[in-house]
Amino acid sequence: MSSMDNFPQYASPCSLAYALALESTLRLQSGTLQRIVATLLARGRSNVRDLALHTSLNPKQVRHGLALVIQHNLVFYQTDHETAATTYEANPQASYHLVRIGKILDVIDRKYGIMARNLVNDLLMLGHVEIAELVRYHRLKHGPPKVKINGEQNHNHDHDHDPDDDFDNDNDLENGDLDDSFNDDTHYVNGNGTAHGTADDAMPIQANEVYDTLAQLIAAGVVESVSVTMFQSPQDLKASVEQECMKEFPNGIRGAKVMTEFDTMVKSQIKAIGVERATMKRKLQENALYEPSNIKRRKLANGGMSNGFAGDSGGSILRDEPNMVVRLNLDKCLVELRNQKLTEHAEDFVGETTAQVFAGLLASLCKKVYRCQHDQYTIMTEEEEETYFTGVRVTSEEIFDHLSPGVDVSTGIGAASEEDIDIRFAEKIRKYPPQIQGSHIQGTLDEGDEILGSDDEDYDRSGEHLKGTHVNGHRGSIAQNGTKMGGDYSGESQSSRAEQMRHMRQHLLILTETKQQFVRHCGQNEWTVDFGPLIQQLRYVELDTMIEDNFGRQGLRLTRILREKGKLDDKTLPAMALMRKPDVHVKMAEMEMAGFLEVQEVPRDNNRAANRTMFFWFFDEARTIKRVLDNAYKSMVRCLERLEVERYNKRAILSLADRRDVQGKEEEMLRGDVYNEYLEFIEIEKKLLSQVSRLDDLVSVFQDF
Amino acid sequence: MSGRGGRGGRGGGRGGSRGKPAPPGMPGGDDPSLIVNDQPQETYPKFYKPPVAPHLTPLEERAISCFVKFRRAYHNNPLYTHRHINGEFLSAKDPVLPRHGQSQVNERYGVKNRATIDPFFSVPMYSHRFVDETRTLPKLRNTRPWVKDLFPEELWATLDGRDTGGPKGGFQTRGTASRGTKRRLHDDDEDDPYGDGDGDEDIFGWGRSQKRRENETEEERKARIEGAGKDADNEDGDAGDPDDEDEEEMEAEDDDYDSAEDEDGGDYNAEAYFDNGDDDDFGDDDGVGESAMDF
Repeated sequence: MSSMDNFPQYASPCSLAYALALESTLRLQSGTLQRIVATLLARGRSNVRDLALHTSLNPKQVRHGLALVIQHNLVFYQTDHETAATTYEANPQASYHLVRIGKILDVIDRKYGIMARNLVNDLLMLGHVEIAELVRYHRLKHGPPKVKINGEQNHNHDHDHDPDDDFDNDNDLENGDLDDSFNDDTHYVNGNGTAHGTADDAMPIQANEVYDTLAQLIAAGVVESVSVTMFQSPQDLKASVEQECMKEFPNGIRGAKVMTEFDTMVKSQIKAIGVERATMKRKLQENALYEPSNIKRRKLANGGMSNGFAGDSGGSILRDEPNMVVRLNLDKCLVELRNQKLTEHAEDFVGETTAQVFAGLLASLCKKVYRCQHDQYTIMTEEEEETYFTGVRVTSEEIFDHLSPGVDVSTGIGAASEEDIDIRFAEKIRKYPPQIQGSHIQGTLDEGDEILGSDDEDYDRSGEHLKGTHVNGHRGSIAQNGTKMGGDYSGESQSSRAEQMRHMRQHLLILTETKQQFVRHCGQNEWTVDFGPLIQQLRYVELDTMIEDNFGRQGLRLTRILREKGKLDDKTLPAMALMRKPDVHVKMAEMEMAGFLEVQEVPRDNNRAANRTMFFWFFDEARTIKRVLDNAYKSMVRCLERLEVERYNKRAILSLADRRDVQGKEEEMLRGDVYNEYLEFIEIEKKLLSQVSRLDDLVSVFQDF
Repeated sequence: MSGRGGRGGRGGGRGGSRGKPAPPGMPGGDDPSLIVNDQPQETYPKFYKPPVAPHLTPLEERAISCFVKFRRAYHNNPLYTHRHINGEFLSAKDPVLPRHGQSQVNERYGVKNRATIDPFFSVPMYSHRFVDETRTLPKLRNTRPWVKDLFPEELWATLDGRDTGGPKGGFQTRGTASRGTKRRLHDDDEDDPYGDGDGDEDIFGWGRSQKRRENETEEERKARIEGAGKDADNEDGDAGDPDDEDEEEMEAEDDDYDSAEDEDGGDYNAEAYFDNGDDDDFGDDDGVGESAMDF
């Protein structure tokens, strides 16, 4: 407890419930690891000795555990230069991500194909790892099944073989069931993965292919190279950089001039760290092969057999640096998850085809979106900083290239005659992002901007042009080209592409016109998404649903009024809501008790009598969200504990199903009634885990996106 | 309900269930038409219909199957250490136990050693061949190459499997604090943000000693490790051949008990019974184990 004074200040709220949720999440990891990280979370940073004291493990166990935890980057560490003493500190974000593993794997699978999924799976399994080792492991694990696929009894039980061999055998044990259940449902959105997947089973995996996929993932930012600085918490990193810089100023930092000098120095140092981290990524991005359109073309051309293309690709760049250490970039995974969520959101509000177009837009934007949230400790590279301040934009062509091939863009658009559309309005260009609506405090903040934005009367003339060609007689082609065929990018005539482009533009225009403003038409043929306001809306949607479920339509009406108007006196509120006063009071009291509303008393005179006091109701968004998050964490913990109870109830069956000869082929090995009970448990587990993942959806909307 | 009966003494004067004007101080209390119900709430709603969760979407289904697959694979790899919950707790009705403090949390985890073994099931049986042996320590050594530069230096010995237990493990601190040593991690990347102008000789001094350690021959290493093992007064300091992996683990599990016994000289020592009673309460660092630290 000696280190209590430098208890870390987390960027995100680290409430008790959060810590509990993390702890339960960590049950995925081993017992030792869970205890170590849980203790670190509870106690703040500690050294090995403290940890041993608090966990009652012996120091040897603690050190083993710490090594693994560092391997998975679940803790940060910091070594004091003078005393060579190392302190460890929990990394709550990374720990929390364990609960999202399933979603991440799924999203990677759909976006980058099955091999990428397997690679990410390996990375999660191994933690940070050298490229050569990763490729070796991957080929070993996902390679062709040997004669005995799924853990026959006779291997692994002779204890005198060397441990390395043991490791390999364990992997063989897994590989069968990892592959077989995914082959049938991978082609969910775009059938690219299928050919890949079946090819995997048939022949040994080519190292080239693995390197290529890895290069693609690195270029996309899903996998990042690891540097030493990543193992320091961002706060520590900044502090140590500042300390270094301080040495340059022996006279101390006094006065404005020296202060700014110092600041720029610190900034440049931190930027250098960012640049160092992104070197390999940039190298691969410069390689033209990793432009997304090329990848797609390659995939479509010959179903994943990319051998012919692998000659001078990113794969060979990676081959030259087999010792580079990589890990999964959780920030980027979060971006992918956010894209998925937003697409679902758009599907709810607009429609399926339009949502697919939106997904295409997000996918093309995603290249330049590095993380969902920034704080003062975020280390950004130069490009990232650029896009952070100016925003990202993509052209229609880029979106079109990212559209998944199964989408029929001609559907889902209503038919309106040309005269009914005011092209000036429909194609209006909005150069400035909308204000974040809702919170009354921000509403008055910068009116200058708003006026600037609304004064803009420009509109996109390319829309007119496209319309012209349409009138000139390509109308007949819609019917034939309704569905895009697989590889029509280069082969088909220009006109059909233009036609589809026009349809896609219509979808984008629909998206700009929705109340939610999914998309902003920010320049001639350029589009962007304002993530901030959009996520804000998503939050309101979730909150509204929650309030409506708990307090009915009237409760929802009241909170919306309060959100719109700010603080309201309890006399004006009933009039505004068109409700009876007693009803309003009952509802308000109910909601206040649940923590969704707050009340403020303002006495009119000194003696604070109730009838001389004004009561203002208000809706405090930040506080409500915090409370909702807290509840979500608690419910997650309860689900996971429930799972524990269910496990306990079925422990006899589970221990049977965990046996090596049974694992993976439960159906044949277990007796009928036992198997049925096992299935029952699987069903329960699935339900509980899905509940956890739904709660996690909520958490990510409210906190992480 | 029974709640009313119980409160009869005080609540007798109270009127009907509803129909009281609002108490002073409540928002809107100045309104005479406002009637509040001041009866205590039902402790449990009469009709409690919890909302039923909708079925899984295909998306969720796949995400969860990914998760479960991953978890199973992870649990099968040699780095996973099993959670062995204390036997007492397993036999308790409620597997989710109170965790109000660290000591309670720690109590959940038992040690599996010779003392706690169940004599009826520990007899070797045929079916034991199919049960994974529970690991108490991850097998760090030889399972995979570790990128040592990314680990703090005090864990390097652990990664090599040379952890000798004790407070320091295999990590020897060299020099004193005044030396101002620099971590080796930084000196091999070329644009090191820290290594700009200071302490070059420190870096080299550090690096040399490290080099020396990596280049030493096998005998030297053995000798040093044995020395370290004696220093730490611990029986499982063998850098060991892979054969006695299991023994090593077993020792690691109950080493605190063993060492405690050694120090006490067995269960009962009549000569030392009175005069030696109070100086070995806490043992040294090796003795700090599950039992000693529960306060």
